[in-house]
Amino acid sequence: MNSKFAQIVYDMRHQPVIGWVTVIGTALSIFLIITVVMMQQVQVMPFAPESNRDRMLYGIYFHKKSIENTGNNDSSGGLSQKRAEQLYNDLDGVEHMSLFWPYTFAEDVEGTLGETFMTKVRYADAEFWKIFDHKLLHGRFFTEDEVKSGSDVAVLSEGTARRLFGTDNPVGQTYQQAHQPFMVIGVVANSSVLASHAYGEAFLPLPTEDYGDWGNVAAAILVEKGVDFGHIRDQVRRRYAEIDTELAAENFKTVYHEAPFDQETMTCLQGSNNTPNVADSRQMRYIIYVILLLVPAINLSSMLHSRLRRRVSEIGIRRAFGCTRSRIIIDIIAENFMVTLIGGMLGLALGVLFGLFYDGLYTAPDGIATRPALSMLLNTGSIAAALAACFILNIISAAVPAWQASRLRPVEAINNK
Amino acid sequence: MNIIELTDISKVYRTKEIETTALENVNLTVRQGEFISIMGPSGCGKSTLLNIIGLLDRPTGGNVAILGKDCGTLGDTATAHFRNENLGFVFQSFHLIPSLNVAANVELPLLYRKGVSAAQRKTEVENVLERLSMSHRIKHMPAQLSGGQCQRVAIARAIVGRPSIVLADEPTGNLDSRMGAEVMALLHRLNKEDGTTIVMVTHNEAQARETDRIVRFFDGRVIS
Repeated sequence: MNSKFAQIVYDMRHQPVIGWVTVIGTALSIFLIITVVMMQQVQVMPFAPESNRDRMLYGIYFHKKSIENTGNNDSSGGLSQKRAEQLYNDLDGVEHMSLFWPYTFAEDVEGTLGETFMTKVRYADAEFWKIFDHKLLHGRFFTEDEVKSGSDVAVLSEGTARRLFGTDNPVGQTYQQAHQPFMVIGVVANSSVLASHAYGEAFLPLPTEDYGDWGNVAAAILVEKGVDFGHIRDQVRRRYAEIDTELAAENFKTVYHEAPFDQETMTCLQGSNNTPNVADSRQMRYIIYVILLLVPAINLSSMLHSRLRRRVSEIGIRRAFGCTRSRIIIDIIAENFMVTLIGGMLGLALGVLFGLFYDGLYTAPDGIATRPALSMLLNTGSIAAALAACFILNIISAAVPAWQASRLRPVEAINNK
Repeated sequence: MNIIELTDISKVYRTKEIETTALENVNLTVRQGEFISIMGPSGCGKSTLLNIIGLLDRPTGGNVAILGKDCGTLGDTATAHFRNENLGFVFQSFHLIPSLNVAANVELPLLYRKGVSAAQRKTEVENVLERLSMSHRIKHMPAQLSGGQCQRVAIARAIVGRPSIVLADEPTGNLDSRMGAEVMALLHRLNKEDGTTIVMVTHNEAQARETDRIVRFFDGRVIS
């Protein structure tokens, strides 16, 4: 290990241009890869208030069409409360199920300070607070009774509370939202817009909707630990069949799109009338990774080739003293891996800094740009991804030069012919 | 006992246009513990012969037996192991690895030998450098050494693995006469004290006369 490190230092000193271009090229390559990885990661990794993402399923759309499939009788859209309850209530293996609006909407609010401003509002039922771990700073969450009765109560984010009342504890005070008074009953910590299902600046009890097929609600399902998502989907599939019986009288049937969807599937929805294709989405990501690895690997490979050309005689000497061909390959790959690792760690650091300080990279589904927390960018997953990228980049870039070096005949290599 | 036996060795270099015969029906035996010199004009095939004895190159025809083993049948990996255990090399231009310090250069053959721990390697390296009076340069880089010191380090590297045979290709060719004499004295000491067989290619008649036997080459043939 020491001798490999010594070789790297020696190369950097004696071939500084090639050495630094190699390190910087690797760093930029890993930076690009890790940025793509992180952008995907923030959409699926658990973090408060969506700490249970790995156990979450969402039912979000309803789709039906005429049984004969004729005419223009194919309709799809958001779920009504009735359909959501029919499909997702009381499923076996579910810890909690919440009905909520899957997006926020902006409304004018005005508090005691007299400033009117837009705030992001989300409707939710009482179960919402059991699924999403919003940190309660003051007061309480709204109850099932308050939701059922349509009480004019609100839970505010800390930031909104301060802006409305000049304090983070306005519990019991009233503010105006769209010219309607709401009493603050609780204050929660601010959350990231990247928690796209849980984020909000003001939370209000879910209003009762009419009972048609379509509406604005979604079902958030927290599955019990150890329960397979397939078990939940099997039950939902059966419930779709029950609704088919109900719809048959109107000459309609449901179209089942493999709902409810897990967190990753929610990142690649393609409208209410299509089955989301996670495989396609993954495949596209993998193609991007391959391109991001292959292009720099070819360049790094030619640079390694140049570095090794100056070491032909050394390779011959090593062979003379008993180094086998396979050992030459392993040593060159190991040595190159150390260089790649140095570049890789630089690239990871660049990716994290870019994520932390550049606004336009991470956006919530409603388009709000944000800067993720450090823990969302730098974690076991991103470090493992960077290491894996370094390893693959190293193998691709070093394999051919290492193999060529191992094929050198000792006598010709020693004399550098 | 013959430690090296070359039988009807020939080496022909072929290109599209020409065919060059470097060695022609060379027969040579070297006894264990012998110190021989190979002499001849430039291009007569001395180094080619040394490379074939060192299993760095393969003959076009004939048979090479080292320590009684027919080396023509060895595969690439087995040849590498055989070289590691039985052969040491000293080159005219030292061929120390510039990125490694003296200790790491000397350690090289032990690095490729199975079953030698890091602690054992360290001890062996320290011992051999002590013996060659190079302990005070153990952490130095090759660029910080004189030619004579470089060659002493190269000799240390050649013998650290206790090979039966040391092959020296003009070991004093790049040294002044005083350093050359020092290196020769060192090789004679190894030959006497350890019984190491030494095959040396040289242009220096005086140094050759100090060895047990002189093998003279001309146009790829042994002439005496």
